[in-house]
Amino acid sequence: MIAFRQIIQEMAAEKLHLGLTILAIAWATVSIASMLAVGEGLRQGLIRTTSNGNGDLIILTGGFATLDYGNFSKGKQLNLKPDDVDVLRALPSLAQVEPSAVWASSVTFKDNGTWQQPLAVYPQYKELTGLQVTAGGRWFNPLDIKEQRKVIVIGRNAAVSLFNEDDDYDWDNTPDLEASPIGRQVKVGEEKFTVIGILKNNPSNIENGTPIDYAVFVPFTTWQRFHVNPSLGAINIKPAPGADREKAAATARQVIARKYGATTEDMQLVQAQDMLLRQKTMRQFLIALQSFLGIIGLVTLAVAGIGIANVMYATVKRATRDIGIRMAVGAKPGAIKLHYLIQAFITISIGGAIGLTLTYALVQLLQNIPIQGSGFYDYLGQPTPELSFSIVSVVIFALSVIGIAAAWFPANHAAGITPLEALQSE
Amino acid sequence: MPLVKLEGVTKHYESGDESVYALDDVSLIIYKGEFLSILGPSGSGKSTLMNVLGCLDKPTSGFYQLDDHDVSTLSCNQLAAIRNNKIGFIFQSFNLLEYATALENVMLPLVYAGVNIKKRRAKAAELLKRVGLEDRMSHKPNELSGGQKQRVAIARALVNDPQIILADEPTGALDSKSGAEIEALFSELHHEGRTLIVVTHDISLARRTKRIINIKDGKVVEDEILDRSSAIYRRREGD
Repeated sequence: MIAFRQIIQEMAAEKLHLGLTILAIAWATVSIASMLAVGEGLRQGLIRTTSNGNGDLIILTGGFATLDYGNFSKGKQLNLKPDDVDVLRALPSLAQVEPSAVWASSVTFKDNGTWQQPLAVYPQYKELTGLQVTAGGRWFNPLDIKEQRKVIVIGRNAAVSLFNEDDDYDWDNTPDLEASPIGRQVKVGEEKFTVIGILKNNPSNIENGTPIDYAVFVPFTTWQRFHVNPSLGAINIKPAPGADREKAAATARQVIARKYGATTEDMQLVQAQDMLLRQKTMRQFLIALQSFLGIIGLVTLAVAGIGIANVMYATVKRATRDIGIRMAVGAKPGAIKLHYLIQAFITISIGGAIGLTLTYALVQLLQNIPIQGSGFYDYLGQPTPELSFSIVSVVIFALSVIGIAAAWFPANHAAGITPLEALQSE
Repeated sequence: MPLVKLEGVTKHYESGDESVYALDDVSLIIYKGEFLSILGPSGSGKSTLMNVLGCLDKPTSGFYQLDDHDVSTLSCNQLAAIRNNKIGFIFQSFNLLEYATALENVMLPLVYAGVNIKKRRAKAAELLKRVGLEDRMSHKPNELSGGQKQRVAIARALVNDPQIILADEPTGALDSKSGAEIEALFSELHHEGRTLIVVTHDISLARRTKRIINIKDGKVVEDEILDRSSAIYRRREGD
């Protein structure tokens, strides 16, 4: 019921206007698609950052009492002890429980020091937080634990600040290590430790916000050897797969509170922080950001839509006599409407296809630009724009809605012309 | 059985304070196979009459029956279907699509009749051959002479085998030689038994038809049958 060839012929007669419209649609498509792709990249970057380190852990710490109850009067501190871990490990809702403690001395090599104090951990901590050791070094093994060896594993940026001769330390752009520090001796307080491993770059955090790149690790038992009746810094908990995280955290709190004869009501005394829930807020923020970027793109697209409507009105006006001819030989108003809707659809398809292709090329280009060593960039999880299937779908959906909306009125206008007035127009 | 029956058809426009009657109580009967002309000076209402007959315009009041259909009550879509199946138009200014070839122009009514492309092409080619344009099928209107354009328009008017062919000043934009060719073509179509209505102000063109309806100020002032030998009129006299 539609003369497809003639739609094309009519469009070919409007090359300039159509070309400009297609350009506007292509540009709008690029803008909406790339905005969404950048937002998606940021989001994926965050997910990458948080899937390592403490991202999916519950961190249990002791605090000060705010209620008088049992063994605790207001202001008394609760210190977690190494054997608390054994109690928690008995809980079925927790998959993994690892203690960590802070050795309250700085790490030094000659005149250089580190920003962070050493963390005392068991070998299992590495797997729990996704740490990786660079080639040539190693992580703690059971013998280090058993023999309480004075060995140390250092985060990459901490290692650079310790061992590189250059004093100009650039926080945003860490230089490479000048030489391998494996086997060198550093001091923790007054004790000499041997470096056995350097960690790979990792933008994630551990504990309560310590960047892995700046962290320093010693074996847990070695720390115990130098500390009498020591207190833990934190207990890192990984809930069992499928377990209700909030319940698991509450149970862990309860168990510890009971063990010390404290009340579970006191939220300050035993604190459980679910890092995943904290990141959920961040993720929600990023989705909001992405939506905002998307809306900017959508507005651009809407402006392009107005352009389509404009060109369509002009086309209809120029083609009024032709519409009259078509109607005189039997075209129904619906066929005229369809004629112009198809025309708009073709225009939008071409513009959209060009726009998406350009965006794809742009995204490929950006993904292949090597950006490395920038602290802030690493912190964001090395985001690169990503043109995912869902983004392409959203863009195509937005194009369709705006295209139909833009073409609807001119097409209706065309269908509403009576054959007589159309034939009489010139 | 009359093909066209108009009863008290009136068309008036409000222009400013004035009420203009383009058609004023026109009653008319046209039989199948007639070759008639509607004659009148410009502004007489003859074009309005043609537009009403061709279902391009609706009368303000009155009754119009075309081939058993009460046209005055039909919707836009139904009128479009009537124009598509029952009426063929020939215009003074040809009214061809400029960017389409002769063949595509002739195929156009079949597009809206839902005929498939193969049949469309065959039928349109056949009719272009019929009007002597078999070697001009892929030419666009701007590559054709006035007479050739009008023959394309005639082929387009015939392509759906319409009940009525309506021609509005068909020779008005043509030189006398081309005009004569078109007139000859009309006579042929008449002899094939088609119903032709020619709207014109040209008395010599009107004289070549079999019946002249003279219209003035929206009223039929004279209805003259020129050739009473024709079978249609003999039968009518016997009624």
